[in-house]
Amino acid sequence: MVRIQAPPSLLNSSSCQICNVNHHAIDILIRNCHSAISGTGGGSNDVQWCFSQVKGAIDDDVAEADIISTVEFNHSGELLATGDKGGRVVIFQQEIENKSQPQCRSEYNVYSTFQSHEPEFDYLKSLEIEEKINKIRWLPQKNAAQFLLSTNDKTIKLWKISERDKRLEGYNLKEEDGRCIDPNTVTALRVPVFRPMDLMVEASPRRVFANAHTYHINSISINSDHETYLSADDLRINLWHQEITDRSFNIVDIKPVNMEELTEVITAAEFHPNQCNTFVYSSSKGSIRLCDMRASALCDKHSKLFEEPEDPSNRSFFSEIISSISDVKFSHNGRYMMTRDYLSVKIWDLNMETRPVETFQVHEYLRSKLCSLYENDCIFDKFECCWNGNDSVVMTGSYNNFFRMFDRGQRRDVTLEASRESSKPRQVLKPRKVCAGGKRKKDEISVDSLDFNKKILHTAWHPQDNIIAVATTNNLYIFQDKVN
Amino acid sequence: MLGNGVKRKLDEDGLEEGKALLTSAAGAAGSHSRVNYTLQRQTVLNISLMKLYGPPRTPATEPALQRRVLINNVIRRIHHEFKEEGGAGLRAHFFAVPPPAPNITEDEGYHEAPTSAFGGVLSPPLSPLSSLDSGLTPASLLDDDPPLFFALPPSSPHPLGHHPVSPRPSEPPPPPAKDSFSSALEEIEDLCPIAVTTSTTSSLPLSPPPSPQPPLSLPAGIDMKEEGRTYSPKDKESLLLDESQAAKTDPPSAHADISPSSGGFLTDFALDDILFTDIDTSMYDFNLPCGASSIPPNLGVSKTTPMVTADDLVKTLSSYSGGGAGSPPLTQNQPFKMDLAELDHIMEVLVGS
Repeated sequence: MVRIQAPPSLLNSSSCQICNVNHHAIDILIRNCHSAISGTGGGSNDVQWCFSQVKGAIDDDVAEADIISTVEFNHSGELLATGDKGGRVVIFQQEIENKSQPQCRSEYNVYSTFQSHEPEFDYLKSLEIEEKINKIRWLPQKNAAQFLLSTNDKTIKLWKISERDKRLEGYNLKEEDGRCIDPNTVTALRVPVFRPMDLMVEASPRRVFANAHTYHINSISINSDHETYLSADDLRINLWHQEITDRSFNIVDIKPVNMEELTEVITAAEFHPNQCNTFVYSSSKGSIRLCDMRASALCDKHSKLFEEPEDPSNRSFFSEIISSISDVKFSHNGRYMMTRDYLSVKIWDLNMETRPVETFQVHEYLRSKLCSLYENDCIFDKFECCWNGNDSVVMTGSYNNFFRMFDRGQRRDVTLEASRESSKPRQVLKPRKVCAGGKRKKDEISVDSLDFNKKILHTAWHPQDNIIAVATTNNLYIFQDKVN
Repeated sequence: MLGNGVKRKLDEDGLEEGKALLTSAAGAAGSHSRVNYTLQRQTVLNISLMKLYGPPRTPATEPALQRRVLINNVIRRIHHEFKEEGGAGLRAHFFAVPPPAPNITEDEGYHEAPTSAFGGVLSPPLSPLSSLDSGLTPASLLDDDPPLFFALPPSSPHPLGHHPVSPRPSEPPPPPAKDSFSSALEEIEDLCPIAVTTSTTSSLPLSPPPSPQPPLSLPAGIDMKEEGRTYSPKDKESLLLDESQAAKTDPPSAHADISPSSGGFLTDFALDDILFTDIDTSMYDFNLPCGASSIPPNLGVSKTTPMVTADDLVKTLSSYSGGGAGSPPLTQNQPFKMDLAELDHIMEVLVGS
């Protein structure tokens, strides 16, 4: 992260000269926008994305347990965690080969693998509880160890990942191989010394937060107060203290008295990145509610309701389903939030509830296929979205292993593909185009040729650099910007 | 398109056209778009019902609440539209269902659209049906005589001739089919005298649905009759609740709460029997495409069903339908066999043998 002396104009006013994105006037640490750091965080047309690495089996026959279900960078970007359907967490660490050369390519290699969740059986309902990891969230680093929260449908766990690269030698009462020494035979004492050993990364569960959710957990979010976090299921949101596992506070409850009247569920929730009293949650009807925990203990009454009126010309049987929000993410600066529904990505200014400030169409060509997509359940796919480090570009996934990036300032977008065919080292990704109808040009793909089994639901962007992690069904692709 | 390697271009064309008609002019295009809209609404309703009440994709784990709520909302909305249009309007709509499109491929497009849905819709009720106490279901089935029509495939005008919008002047119902159907019923009677008496009593008043594809529609028509009774609303409700109890997948939480609510729906629907007799089988192509792969192919078909009866029927029917569409009887026999095996199975249950 580079600290720059902000030009006076930017200190007083609040909009970037180039892309008109507003900033907090007092924000001297200019992480955003085009006025700042050269090279990093540029728009999608400035950046050429190159293949860097791919993780996972090459097999076309995908084992169900290997399906990636979540991807998350930690706060420094040095660690990249993935969760899969088999309940495992794999953490990759960035190896910076040569720190003196900033342009060198860094690779992510396996750092730690552990089984986070096991399948369970709910005896009361005679149903299995899947071990699939729904979300991973990293805690801000406080000491040498790393901490992350991982959750399946019902239970959240706090994991400590620590390194061990030294061991003690020279115990007085223990031999090197572990046998005990009889104290009576000890004639002299020595002080044990540290000796280096091969790096060992240990993951240990430090807390288990269980039995707080009747419905399936869809989100966890760590508060900026570094003490609490929230977990959201379909109907309730609970607030936890990171240290306390036997209690949680319910802060949102939308369960109706009569379940027959249930028409709306919670789909995602997130804490504000800076304001520890503010969080948002999205619903299956396309609305986002911002709540202030200072207002009342139970935040059923929202402080703000973000909702865009439906476009009557696009009304269909599936209008509600495609308006269901699958992901909500605050921008790093906390001014905006992004929501992903089935066909589009919307950027909302937190100060304006009536409509989003920007709307990007991800795959509008699917609008005429909604009935088929309803029939084969693809319409219920939950795509995630993410911001880049300076909030100038957003990214989300699509079908056929395509993913899309939208540059907010330059108003440009690009479609790229994560495929084995374009996986030569440092190969530049070629923009893809989908032909919606009419004459198909060369290199375009027609909508009917799209593979709806190849969906990119999970993507993550490095917090500072232009490094992205894109998860196909069972592979993790890492792309970086082209180094000249 | 559906991700299983099957390109269903016709389906998309048909639906797209329906959709295009829907989105353009918002119904001002007259009866054509209205009919398309009704058909598409029907399709969506049937798909939704199948999604909710069909075999679960992951039977071991709890179904996703968000998905169920969204599908429920779709059904609610369609139900609401039905109510707004009113009962009389309902009948008119269902009679007026067949679109005036003379193009057979387009019809096949429509046919294909609900096929995977209906194919599944057909089968599941049969298994719970067979598992139910035979004393319980048949009596209530027999008592509940559905009204004298079904939502017919787009290509077949209703025999009672109630439709104000006469759809297909280019394709008059072939008279031999009508007769062959009644003959087929008689054939069934001969083969299973006890069982069929009760079943055909209620079916006979129903004229067979002639269609440009008689080989397909005849056994489907028979099945439809069975299905019509199977789907009589009160039984659907008891059927579903029984099924859910039998399957023990009804947890005492939201899941259980949804089922009674759908029971609540169905009670409402029970007021209009029509809505359930819409689950129309006659346009099904029983070569289920891969899109319906969630439905096990043997669902509803008892492997122990003696095929002799079914074969006899098949031979009889194909001899009647020989003059029909001219499709090779061999290829048509496969779906027939499955159909008739199911039919056989139902009869066994009805008879209690």
